Amino acid sequence: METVIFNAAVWGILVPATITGLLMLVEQPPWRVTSESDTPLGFGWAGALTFPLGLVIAYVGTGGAPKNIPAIAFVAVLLGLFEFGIRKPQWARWLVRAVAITTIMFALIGFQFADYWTTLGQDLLWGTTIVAITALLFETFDRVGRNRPGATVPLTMMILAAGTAGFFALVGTARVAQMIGALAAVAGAATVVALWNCNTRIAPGASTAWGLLYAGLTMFALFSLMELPPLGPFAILLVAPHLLWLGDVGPLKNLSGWKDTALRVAVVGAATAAALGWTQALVGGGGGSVY
Amino acid sequence: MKNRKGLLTGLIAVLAFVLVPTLSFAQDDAEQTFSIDPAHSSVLFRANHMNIGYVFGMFPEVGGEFTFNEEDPAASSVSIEVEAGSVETFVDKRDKHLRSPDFLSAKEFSTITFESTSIEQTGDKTFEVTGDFTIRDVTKEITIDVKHLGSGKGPEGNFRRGFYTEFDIDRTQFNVDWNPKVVGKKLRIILAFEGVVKN
Repeated sequence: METVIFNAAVWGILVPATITGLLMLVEQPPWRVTSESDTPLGFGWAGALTFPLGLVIAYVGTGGAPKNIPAIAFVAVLLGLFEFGIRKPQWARWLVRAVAITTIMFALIGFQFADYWTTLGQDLLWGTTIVAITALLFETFDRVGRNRPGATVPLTMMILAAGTAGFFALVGTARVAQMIGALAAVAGAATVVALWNCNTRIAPGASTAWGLLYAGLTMFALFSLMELPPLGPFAILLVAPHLLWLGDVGPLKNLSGWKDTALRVAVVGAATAAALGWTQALVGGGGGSVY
Repeated sequence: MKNRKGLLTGLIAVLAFVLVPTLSFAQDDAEQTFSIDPAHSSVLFRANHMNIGYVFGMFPEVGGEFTFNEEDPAASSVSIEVEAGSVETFVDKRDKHLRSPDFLSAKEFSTITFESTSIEQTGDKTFEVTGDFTIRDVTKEITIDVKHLGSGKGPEGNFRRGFYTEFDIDRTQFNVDWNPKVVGKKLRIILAFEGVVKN
């Protein structure tokens, strides 16, 4: 038992986070004097590489699920580096994003199409919905990341992934929860580096790579369970990242610095906590507690 | 003379009418195909819990078919299919977890199968059956000792045969490798199945 917890802590959290942190420090050393305008692409290639790498390390170190994590990580790296290098034309970015989402989702939840969504209408409805949800996630992190330097986006990613990992651990898939937890760990490392240098930014590239992995694992966890988990709390988790936009609404957009970050992170965190609390109340304890 | 020739022809015709179906039946009887009867078949398993005790479970949904050749057992075959999602340990929360990606990922890999590749008779009623055993997306060749329990007509008049086997597998070899410190790697599989002859 101790070995399992040790492996989860070291290989699922500590090693991925350390490597992520180091690689981000290489890309953008906080001790180098920068200004906000000097660093429009901070964490571009570093995040695009190290977020998927962190997931693969966690997968190999802990024997996670699903089995094709190395393949989805590879696609996430390619997408992240493409986003880092190519900002225009927009249509090309969205085309590559659509291809990446479709590829990953089909690799992860293709069994749904084969056995459960038995009509073309169901395939199209679910396929389009999932692609749209993931694209929306990309857009939120991308926009907010470009506009807001510092820890706002990575901290939100960390809270969101930790909450989602907790949600799936509660409803009964510890393995996938552990992999989503690894995404929380790498986002945590990015948060630490961003706090060190408040001018760094998480977008682009890194946020799309992370978003693809997060969305893919979440959809896999959702659809690989025999029974759908509580949909109310899950819907809150889907909405939570988009509460980042609240900081751009009305008088709130005039908040500056740490107040803006605190507001955005607080609303995302509150929504995630509410989803977790609701799930806990519905399922009443951990999925694996019967052991 | 003419009448005797006619009588001989008639006799041959009668013999042909009687013997041909009989010979044909004898050939069918040597190798018969059976459908596995889920109501009289059981797939049980036993897992070690933290090196403290045993937990038992079962898969109620089992199906498949087998052929049995009494004269040449090596020509027999068996194909068994178990619904992974039917796993039952009588603790609801644990059953959901067993169906999840941590164990069987039953929605992704809906069936557990065994397909024989060779059969060797080792005793009067015992056989060594080698075949491909598939759990999740992993197929391994295993060899199991199978006992022929008996045969006879059931109450509905259909001919039946029954078999029994127990064997061990290392679940981690089939990617069912969640937390071996808590749930032992070794699983004892206990399989008893009856088949009803197909018409």
